[in-house]
Amino acid sequence: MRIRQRGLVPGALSISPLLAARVALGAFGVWVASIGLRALLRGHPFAANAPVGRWLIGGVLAHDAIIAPTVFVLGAVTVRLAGPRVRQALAAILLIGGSVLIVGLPDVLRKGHNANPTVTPLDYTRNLIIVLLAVVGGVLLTTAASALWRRRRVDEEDSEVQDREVPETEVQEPEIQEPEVQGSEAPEPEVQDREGSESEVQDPEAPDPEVQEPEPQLSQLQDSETDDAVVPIASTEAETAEE
Amino acid sequence: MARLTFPTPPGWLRRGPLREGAFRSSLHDERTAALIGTALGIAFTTAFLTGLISHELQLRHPPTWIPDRPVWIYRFTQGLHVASGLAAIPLLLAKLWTVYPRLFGWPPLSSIRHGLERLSILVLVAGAIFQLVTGLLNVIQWYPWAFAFVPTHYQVAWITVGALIVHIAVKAPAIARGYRRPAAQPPSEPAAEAAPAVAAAGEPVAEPSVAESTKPRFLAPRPGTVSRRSLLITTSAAVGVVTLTTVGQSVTWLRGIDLLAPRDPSVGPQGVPINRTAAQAGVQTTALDPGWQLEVDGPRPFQLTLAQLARLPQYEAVLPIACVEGWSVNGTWSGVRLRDLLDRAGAPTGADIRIVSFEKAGFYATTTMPREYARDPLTLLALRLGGQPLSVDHGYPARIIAPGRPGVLQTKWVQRIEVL
Repeated sequence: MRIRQRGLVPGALSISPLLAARVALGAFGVWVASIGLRALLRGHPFAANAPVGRWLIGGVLAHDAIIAPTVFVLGAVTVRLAGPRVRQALAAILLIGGSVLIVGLPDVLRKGHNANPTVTPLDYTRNLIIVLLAVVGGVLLTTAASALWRRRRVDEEDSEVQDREVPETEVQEPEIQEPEVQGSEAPEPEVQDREGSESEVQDPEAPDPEVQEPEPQLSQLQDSETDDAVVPIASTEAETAEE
Repeated sequence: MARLTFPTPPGWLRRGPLREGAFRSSLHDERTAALIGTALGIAFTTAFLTGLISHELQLRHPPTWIPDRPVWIYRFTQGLHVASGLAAIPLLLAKLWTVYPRLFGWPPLSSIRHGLERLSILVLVAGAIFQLVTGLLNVIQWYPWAFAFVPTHYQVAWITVGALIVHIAVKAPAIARGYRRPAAQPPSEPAAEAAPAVAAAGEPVAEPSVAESTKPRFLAPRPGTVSRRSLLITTSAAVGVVTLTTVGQSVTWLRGIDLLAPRDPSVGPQGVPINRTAAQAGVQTTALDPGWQLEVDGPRPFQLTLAQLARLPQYEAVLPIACVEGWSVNGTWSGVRLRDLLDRAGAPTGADIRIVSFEKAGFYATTTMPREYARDPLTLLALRLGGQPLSVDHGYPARIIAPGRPGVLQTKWVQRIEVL
């Protein structure tokens, strides 16, 4: 009872329908997870789950301690060594090629190990090389083609780029009825909505490229890198607004 | 909500990836996370639902809500299961890259609520990686672990999907912001160092680390070296490449490019792959025993030799063999209708049946078949595949083939049919 009353103190906590729905959804998720957890733990001593636990934690460690740091270090290195277009191509090769490698490597490693010859019947080493080369070739071709295309477009629309630094503010609307969401006071740098002007902008205040813009303008990226400081600051909206 | 907050660790601990602005790209934002997360959520939901269908079909009494038509229904759901799992690999990589800076959010633990949220994400990430890795290795029958794949993959699926639902509930406002806001995230709060209390998961938006020495006060998210559009296109391309190079194992007209598929649907005895060879099942000699007789138990039990079976009315059915590992291919099977054998034994139409293989140790050496499948006019005790007698790997002298059932239940090397 006391807890309820405390919860009803004006301004402290009023449960909005949206929050109630989220709490219900979260509780449902906990229940769903508990189905699997109970099944996992049932019928054998707790210690028998050690192999499952090792693979669960091992996967997280493999990603968070090996794969991700490698990718971020590679990214940091290329930032110093290469221009944006090259970096973009390298990132594409890394993601597509990395995915292909994860999918194809087990086939390569297990080729010939199964007594059943219809499992992994192909020459996966050769195929993996073919696919990886095709990925590299495809990315490079795409990059070259879009670079040509962009250069042409930039020439045409150069004049419209001028107003891209003009910021505007907008009142951010709160998404949930929770006390801490007071985003309405937070001025939000806003986006130029005009059809013509946004297409060349790549700075963070720009409208989302994939929404309105046919193609990101990498040549503009290079420009904007030099003038980060011009971009106005916006206050951070408290993301976990429930506190 | 939890009022209890934990003290922020001393600032000098905030080093390496923990320091503010360690991650520079503007793509570690809510919008990117929401968009890729949606695709990943769809992939996982698809894999979960199709996995449930596969699980239910393999129960002793499959639920009646799973129809047995079209005959390729299991071929479709299980092909989709494996394809969506494979597609989730690049999606998960991209998603984890996007949110990786949050692993180093500061302070690491601000409240009990924050701790629970982080725990739920640990469960989600661990479960997601586990499901994709175990599934990926299972499709090539590689089991480098000391647990049973089938029940564990199933149980962790529930845990993962539960954690996914919790995650969506927790992140609903962030997801909504990600969809609503067309612009990139606002830059990180410069005052965050002094007053870090704001956000349990304050936006760790990127900023330039090259400018570290000067420590600019107003750090905008640096325009990413990669645009969001480009990241999304790249992720889609990765999904496309992974899918196209593997899906030919179930989508037969794409098998010309299934360079990385663990199966080629045309490679196998009589042009059809197999899941368990006669040698693996230990039936190489018994299968060729000329004294083999099919036993049918029931009110009027009988036995038939292979020659006698071949003299009964023969039917042909084009039915897929579709494996839990995702591969599938149509075969033209011919043999005796199971319902004819059951009628001959005087089995009541409402009876389920049990099919017993002379395969010794296999998990699926005995199958229970519900009456709907047993009485299906397409369900055969097949003697031939593609016009030729079954090869021993395909279950010579006789095997079961029924519409819409997982391949492991299409019992090979049939010895006896029992009416339950």
